[in-house]
Amino acid sequence: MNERLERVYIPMSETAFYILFCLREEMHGYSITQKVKAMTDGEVVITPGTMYGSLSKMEKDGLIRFVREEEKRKLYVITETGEEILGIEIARIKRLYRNIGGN
Amino acid sequence: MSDNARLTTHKIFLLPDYEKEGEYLTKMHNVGWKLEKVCAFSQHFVKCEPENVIYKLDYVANNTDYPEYIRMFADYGWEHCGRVAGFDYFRRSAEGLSEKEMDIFSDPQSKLNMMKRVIITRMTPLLIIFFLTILPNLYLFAINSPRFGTSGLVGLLVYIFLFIIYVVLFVYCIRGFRKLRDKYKE
Repeated sequence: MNERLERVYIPMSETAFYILFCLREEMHGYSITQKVKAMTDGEVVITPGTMYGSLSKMEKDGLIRFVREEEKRKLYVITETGEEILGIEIARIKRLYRNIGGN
Repeated sequence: MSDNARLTTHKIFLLPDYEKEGEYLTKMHNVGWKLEKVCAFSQHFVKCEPENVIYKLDYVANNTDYPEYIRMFADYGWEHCGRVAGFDYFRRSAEGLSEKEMDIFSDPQSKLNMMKRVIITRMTPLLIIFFLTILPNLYLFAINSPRFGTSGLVGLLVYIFLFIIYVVLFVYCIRGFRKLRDKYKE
């Protein structure tokens, strides 16, 4: 059922990964960028065109869903399908990490 | 140099020229002309202090949540300053920004996606008009014009003219889009 999604999203871009990862909590676009910046010491910066496009695409693909609106900001959260895809990607990254000598 | 001196330019930016248009508006603001209003084939400026302000164009097809979209860009510090033919114009001061924050796209894939949206929703209708009206009409006038005398000849010339314009535009756009694609894929 998720074959198409797996093909499209795995391996995942850093942008998509952090967006999905952050959306395990309800958040809006700008707050995701802020959080990702903090998590990566400012290394990963997601700008609005990319953020808007990614959120729209992920919503269309059913990885995230719109929860509610707050002062014209749309809040999203990850769906079950999104969790599944994120889980596959995390397993892949862990395997990578193990194979390069991490734990 | 009065406070509200104004300037209008008539630069033509076609479909694949959205980056060039942003660069042009940026350059103008850098020398003290702030964009006041943008139209299809004209740009209206008002005099300002020269400032390093960056302009970028975005294109979202069938945008169903426009206020939220503008709000998101505003959260990041981008001011909406125009909309022409589905292209949205944004600007922000470059002071103290990292190079990444000076762009509205932070990865090449989203730049390619924007280009695809432009091609699919702007370029395709032009192709349909070309194949469904210009080509058939050109053909009909070409085979029938001798029977209609002067008016037939005028019609034929009009469609030959349109045909040439379209072909020139298509060639220009296709080359422009290929250049952009190669740049994004680097």
